[in-house]
Amino acid sequence: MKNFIRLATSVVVVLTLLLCSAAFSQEADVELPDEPFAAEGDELEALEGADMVIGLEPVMEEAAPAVEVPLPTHVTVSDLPNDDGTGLVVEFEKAPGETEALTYTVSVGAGPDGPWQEIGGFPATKKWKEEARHYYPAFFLFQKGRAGMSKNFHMFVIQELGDNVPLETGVEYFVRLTASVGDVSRNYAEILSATPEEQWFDTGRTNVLIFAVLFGATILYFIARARRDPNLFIRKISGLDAVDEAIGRATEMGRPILYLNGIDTLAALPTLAALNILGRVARRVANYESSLIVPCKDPIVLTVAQEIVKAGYTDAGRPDAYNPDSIFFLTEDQFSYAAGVCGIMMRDKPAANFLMGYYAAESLILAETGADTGAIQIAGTDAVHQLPFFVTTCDYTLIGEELYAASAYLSREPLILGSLKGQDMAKVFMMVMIIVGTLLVTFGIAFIKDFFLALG
Amino acid sequence: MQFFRKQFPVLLAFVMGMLLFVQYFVPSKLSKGFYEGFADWLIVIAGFAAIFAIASLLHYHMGKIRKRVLGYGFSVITIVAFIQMLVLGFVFHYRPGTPAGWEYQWLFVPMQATMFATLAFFIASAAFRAFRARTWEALALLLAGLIVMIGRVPIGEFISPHLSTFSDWILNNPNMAGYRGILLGVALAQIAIAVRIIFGIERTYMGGGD
Amino acid sequence: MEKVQKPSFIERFLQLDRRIIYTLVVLAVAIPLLFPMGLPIKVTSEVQSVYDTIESLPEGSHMLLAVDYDPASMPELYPMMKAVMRHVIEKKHKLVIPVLWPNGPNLVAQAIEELKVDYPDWTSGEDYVFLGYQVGTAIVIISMGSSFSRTFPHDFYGSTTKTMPLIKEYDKFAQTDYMVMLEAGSTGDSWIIFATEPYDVEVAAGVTAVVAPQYYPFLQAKQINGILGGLKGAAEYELLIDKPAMAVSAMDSQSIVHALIFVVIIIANIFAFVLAGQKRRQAREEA
Repeated sequence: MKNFIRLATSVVVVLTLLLCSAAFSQEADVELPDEPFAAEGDELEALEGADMVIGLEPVMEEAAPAVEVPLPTHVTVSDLPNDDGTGLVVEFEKAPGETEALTYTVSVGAGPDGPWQEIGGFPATKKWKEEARHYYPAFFLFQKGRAGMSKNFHMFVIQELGDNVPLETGVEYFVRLTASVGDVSRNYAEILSATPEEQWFDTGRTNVLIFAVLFGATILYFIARARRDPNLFIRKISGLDAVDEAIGRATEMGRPILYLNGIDTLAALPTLAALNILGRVARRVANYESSLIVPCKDPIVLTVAQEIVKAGYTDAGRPDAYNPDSIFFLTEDQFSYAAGVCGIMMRDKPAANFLMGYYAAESLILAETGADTGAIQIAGTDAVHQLPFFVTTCDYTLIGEELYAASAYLSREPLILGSLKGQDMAKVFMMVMIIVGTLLVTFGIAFIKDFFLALG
Repeated sequence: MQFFRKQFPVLLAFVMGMLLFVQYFVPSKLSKGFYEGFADWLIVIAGFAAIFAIASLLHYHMGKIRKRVLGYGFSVITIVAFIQMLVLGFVFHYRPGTPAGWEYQWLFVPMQATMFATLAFFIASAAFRAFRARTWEALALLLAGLIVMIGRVPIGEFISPHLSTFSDWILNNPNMAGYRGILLGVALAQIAIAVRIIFGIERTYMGGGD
Repeated sequence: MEKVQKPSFIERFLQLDRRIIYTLVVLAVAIPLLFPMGLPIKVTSEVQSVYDTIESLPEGSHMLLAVDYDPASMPELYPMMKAVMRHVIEKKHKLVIPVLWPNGPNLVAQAIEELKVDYPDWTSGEDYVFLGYQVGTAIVIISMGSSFSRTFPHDFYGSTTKTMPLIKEYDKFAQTDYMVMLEAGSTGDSWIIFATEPYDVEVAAGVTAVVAPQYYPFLQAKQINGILGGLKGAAEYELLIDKPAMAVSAMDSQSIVHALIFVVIIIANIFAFVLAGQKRRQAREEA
């Protein structure tokens, strides 16, 4: 019967494949991919033809009139805002009659008469002030010179004098602006000068500071409040409720528990969140007298994981049961790590697998192998694109921020729960901003949008 | 001693956390120099951590070999492969045309590609086993998944050009909406955990108690 | 003795040995590779814009190709890398290639060797600089903002970078005219946060299909100007530069595997639906 099923499925799929092949074979002889590109090519040829007519004919065949080189009317050179005192910025409103053929060149000299060193050039279609808004101060809803943020103003940053020689703080530099069309060039009448100065506060990040302080303060406020009133509500997270069940089951079956911290380094917050949960799991494992396996991908995570598990066993009053060999370094390579972990799953048959932290393409390889061994699996990640794989193959999945809430949920420690409350408040604020901002932008009022743009 | 185990790490996390926070808002030379120095130290520490990794790797596998546990043969292969790759790497460098380069191209590359390729098999078997429309929500997910899957490859374009347009719409609208929602939640949670760590409220990651 | 009820055909089908599915996947990959069908490949706008940008840059523009993948993602990203490099060489742009994944450099070296067969005059140090690998990911990116030659004192081949003609004119991230990053993970986030956004450099991402959804929000926010997504993106690019190669030939396989999974999911759902109906009926009868 088994053979029959194999045969039947093979026949069904091979037939499907054959049908597909038959359907497509009509197309197979045709050079299909050429079609869109032929059109593209034609267009390109047509454009090239147009260029010949517009650009070259008058210049080459007739005694062409003198080429007009437009110049901007007002140019300024000033210290580059918000830097370490090694930059100047040239700004000007686009010249009347600017064309694509126009290029600007900036030269720097030690004195008003040169000698001039060419620093760089750019076509009139590039280097817009609007694209470099991060250099400019932002304060709440107001951004200095917001009028200059449209694509009407050019800006060019000078940070070195060629060959990687930086500008010196406090030294006056002279700047010459040249506009050229083809071989014809004109200099801006005035030679301008400015001195680079060092700044001690990046005004472009004022809004970020306001937000960071407000949000940080909200969290700290709720933490302080939790100290006074420790009875905070936290919604049920099934994946975390199942931690005890998973450990209990592994203990009953006499099989180990596998805990993974993800594939990122200690500097990544999902790894820290995973390590926090490991601390709680280790304590429970020690209480249940089960065994824990923690293969690590990062050497620093390894040393931290060893400390955490050791502390977990000590806190549970079972320091003797701690086995440092059960927390080990496997490899630093992503897929070799996946292969190694799959090997452990197949050989040691853990009854519970915890997959916490950051995962990339190896997520399904790990979770599907775990599912194959029949283990109860609890995953938790903020890698959104891996969530579908975990949801499909694991018994429980902590989605995004649930991973970060896990530590609070498992410990029920009021201070950590308080931070969750602060986080929720910030979320409410963001939701209100999104709704109000969307409505306002729909009706053409853009100040909330500008505020968030100024954050970047 | 207790101070260095308990309080000092918390203090260090607080000082460095605050310094880096302030540094973000200060563009001066001093601040830039501090950040570059910090970055250099991170690279140095990461380099030294490799020693722990190697020690752990050898200790773990030697232990398995000594105890003759199930599958200890793999540990023998690991140690032999580790030593010979280390020697070849030091002597010849990993460049095309050297013995180490040969190993890279003809052993490492195919083995890695094989591991990645197993994904195709796992996706098929997971889809067959677990991708079921048990509820209305699951049915919606299933349909969206099927449309995106088929709309993203030439066969979808062949069946109907609208399929790829619809699949793009699903990706760029409902999918993106959900994605952004999760992302915002994650970002806020990350700030909260950062505050907890900087202020020493969360210390589990240091191997300490609550 | 209690009679054990024999599982029905549907029940047994739903418990199908996964090795049968694996075999079908092998067939679905292998058959189209052996007998190509030439399914039409439509060029998407996100790929077209990468091509158009490289095409529109003036000769000698500075381009950065960040290689952040390793052999595991080679089937998807290697054809993409070669196609982009070929385009850059043909347009006579200057190319600097850093690698932030430890097992990536040899793939670049291999691609350079292969391309040198077609472009023997393409010279290291003048037309391109292959910086090799440096440990530290985000730190390396930040450091490249101030100097390539300080971050990578030697290139992959051991030559000093500081004295190279190309590095003399192109030593800072801010001097980049266009960047393409090939990503198999989240290193691209760091490039955007620490380099392309602060220095206003236009960038495109060439990514594996698995991580592609992660990069679409950047495209919508205009933080990247194009995406080459997975094998299909590579195939589209090969067609755009008119050099169909590995990716184009593998597209039929991908289509058929997608179709197979499609069919498998539908069959499994129909059977599961029928089984659920049967069980409900049985339960009613027993009641």
